[in-house]
Amino acid sequence: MKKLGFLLIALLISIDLMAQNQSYGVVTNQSSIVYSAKHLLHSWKGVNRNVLGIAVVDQQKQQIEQLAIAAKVSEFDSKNSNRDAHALEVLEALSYPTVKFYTTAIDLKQSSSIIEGELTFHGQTKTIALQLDRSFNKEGLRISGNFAVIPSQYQIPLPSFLSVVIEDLLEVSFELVLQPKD
Amino acid sequence: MKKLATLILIFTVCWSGVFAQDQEELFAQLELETSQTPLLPKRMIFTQRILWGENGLMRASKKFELSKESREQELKIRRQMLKAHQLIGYATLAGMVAQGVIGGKLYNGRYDLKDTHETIGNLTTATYFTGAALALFAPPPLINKKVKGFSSTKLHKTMATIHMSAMIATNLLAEEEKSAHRAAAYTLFGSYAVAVLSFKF
Repeated sequence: MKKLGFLLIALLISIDLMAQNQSYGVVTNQSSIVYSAKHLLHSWKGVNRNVLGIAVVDQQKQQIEQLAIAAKVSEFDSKNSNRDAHALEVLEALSYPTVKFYTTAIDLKQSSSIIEGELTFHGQTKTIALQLDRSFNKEGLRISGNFAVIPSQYQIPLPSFLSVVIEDLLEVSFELVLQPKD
Repeated sequence: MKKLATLILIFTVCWSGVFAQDQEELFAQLELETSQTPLLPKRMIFTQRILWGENGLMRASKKFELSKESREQELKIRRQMLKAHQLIGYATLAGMVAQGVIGGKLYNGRYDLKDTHETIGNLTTATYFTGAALALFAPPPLINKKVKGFSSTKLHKTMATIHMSAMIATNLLAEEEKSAHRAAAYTLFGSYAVAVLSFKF
């Protein structure tokens, strides 16, 4: 009888712990990721408006327990089809179709901080630090930030034009809106 | 008592494990696999479709059966062909500039330059059509999006239609109509220069 009592208590504690977590999904039509790149002759931007993502939020602690963001590399649009097609070639999009970011333990009581996470790009995973701004209320979660990516560190050959390669730097910024999932 | 504590611990861990999601599970929920990048673009130049389309002539070869591996190989071939297209394009433009200078002198009575004009003309025509073939028969890209409004790619392709016609006219009119030949040559040079110089990465 005692055993049963303990088991019930443990069960209730577990259920209570799980009840505090709520999943949030990225609202694609309100979210975007933008990269900026430079060549000797000009610079350009590519925008992805089809970002996918999930945040597991501990409501009581006001903390994002896990954040997983993914975007297809073929969904970046720089308003130049030839350039986008060339980008997919160097990124080997058939083998590595997505760019992913994963992080844990983001305190939502702070509105801004530098966090660390894992960026998987071109099949290579690296730990990166980035500035993350966030706001959290009943309606949802809004996060934004920026970071730099050095393509050569991800084994990406730099595309060239007129025998001049692009700058080995991509500046990435993002704006994501997440709402509770059913 | 120990047994009971162990039992509680095992139970709690197992129960939490049911709900705990690791990184891979979270990404799996995003259902990325359901929308893989298509192997071929929806839009292709007809010359590319003949060779590299789903039922293109090249697909008869085992090496180029439509698959992820063969497309990766094709994209490497495509890049080499387009690099060559670019370099040959600059050589052709240089040839056209030389033809402009020599042709102008010939038009003003320097008939001793006729053979040189013809030789450079033949070379320029050869490099022109080699460059064109490299672009027209290269394997297609992964995507070929329709961009609204102006783009350097659109200008490049529009100019290509003009300079291709002008190149044919320049050659056809070489022996007979001097002024028409010159007008076609200038149209060719102008449209070709715009096509080459306006192209942006």
